Amino acid sequence: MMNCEEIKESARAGETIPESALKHVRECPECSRTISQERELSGLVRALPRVTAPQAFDHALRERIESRRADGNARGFRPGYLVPAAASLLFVLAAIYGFISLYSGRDAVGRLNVPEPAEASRPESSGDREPLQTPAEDPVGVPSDERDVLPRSPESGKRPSEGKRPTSGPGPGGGSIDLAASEPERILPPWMKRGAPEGNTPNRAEQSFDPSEILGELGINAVFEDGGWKVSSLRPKGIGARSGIRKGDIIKAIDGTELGTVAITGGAISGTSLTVIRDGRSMTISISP
Amino acid sequence: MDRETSAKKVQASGADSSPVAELTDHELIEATKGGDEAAFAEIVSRYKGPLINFIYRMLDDYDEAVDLTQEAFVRVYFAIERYHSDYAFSTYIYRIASNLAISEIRKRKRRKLFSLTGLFQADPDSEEQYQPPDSAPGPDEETVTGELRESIARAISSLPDKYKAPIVLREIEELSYEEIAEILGLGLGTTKSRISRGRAILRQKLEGYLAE
Repeated sequence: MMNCEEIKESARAGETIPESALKHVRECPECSRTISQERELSGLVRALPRVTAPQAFDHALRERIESRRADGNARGFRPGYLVPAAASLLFVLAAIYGFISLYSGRDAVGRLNVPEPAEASRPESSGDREPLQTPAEDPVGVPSDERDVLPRSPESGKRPSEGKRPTSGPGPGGGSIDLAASEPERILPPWMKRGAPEGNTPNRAEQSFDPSEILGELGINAVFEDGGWKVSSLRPKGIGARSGIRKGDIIKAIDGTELGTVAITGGAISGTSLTVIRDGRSMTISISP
Repeated sequence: MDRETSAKKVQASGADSSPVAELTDHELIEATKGGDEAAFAEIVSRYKGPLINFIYRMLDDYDEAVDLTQEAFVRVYFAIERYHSDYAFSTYIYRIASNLAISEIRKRKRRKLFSLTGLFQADPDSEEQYQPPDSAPGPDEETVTGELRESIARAISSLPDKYKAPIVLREIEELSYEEIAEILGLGLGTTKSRISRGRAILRQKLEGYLAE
């Protein structure tokens, strides 16, 4: 059995009042008035005259169909759409690839985005340095960034066989290996890029960051308590809020590196996930830049 | 009626030119797929009136309503092989018409925006200025002009887009909530609430014409 509100709501939505409610409507002045007003509105709108199709409608439609058929455009295949569609797809793919390259610290052709050693930009600066090999001379295709850090055998001048990574121990020639230069660098994501004076770009991996500064970059305001950073507020649409961080979460670590009260070096993190305690449970939340 | 029976009926209609008027919408579609132009003409005959009225009240522009109704039929004709009878044909064709009308409304808004911001108006006297919707009455409307009707039509066409289609389909085309929900791809509750809200706005706009 409908009550007064339901009957009025139904009337306002233009619904037909069920017969079972009509007895109530007859006895309820309020319902009766509402229904009467709504019927009046419907009557007003439905009084609008109906228009009819012009006499030439069918003929014009036939001509339109014939014309479309003659154009050859009608049955789905429209080559004209392919070029912009392909261009859009390429653009999107390029943007995604560029973003991934930037995020992983590689440029668009897959080279590491680490600063070149000073010597590398001055090929003739040292007489005892071997000249860089051209791609024709180096069929193995070792990236130029890695060539000068790979040890060579003093006898043959060959590099270690491909696929073997250099270890931290002494190389075949007895020299030490620069592990940091031969492995992909863990650098900070763009959202944690710190400004540097022009012409003096420091290696971001070597910078240190205060935990609250890192969280601030993520749009998270937090205070350190209970062994973690308790979220007091979030910037609307900030990275933290978009990633699903909530007020009250306790952030314990970033990329597994514990966020205490002391600064951490940028090279220790890549800024892809946060370890969070929520409602007493630990969870890992991916950061959506 | 199953599809086989329907097909037989279609063959019969093609063979002895029996009136297609007795066929259901789905039977007409099947016949059209088989190349029966008379079946398609019958579909046009059934739906051109409702569609023109629907689009006319959405746009308040008769010529555009005729043009978009034709476009809806053209699209049905060339996509007929892909039509599946999971839904009523009326739902299918109203949905096409609704999309065309909404698309046209958006185009007009963009044109109006450009016009207002002067982007396309190097010469203020240029003939390429935005032309406001044609509110001239249709050919059969000579006798129905009047302040009240103009006010009602204006009130409907000035409704926010999300209320306009549900209101026109309900109040002008008198479709059921279920049909409207399917045409517009909305839930039943959302459809009812939009109609209710749209009616409330109409009531405000037309309060001068309603009894206290």
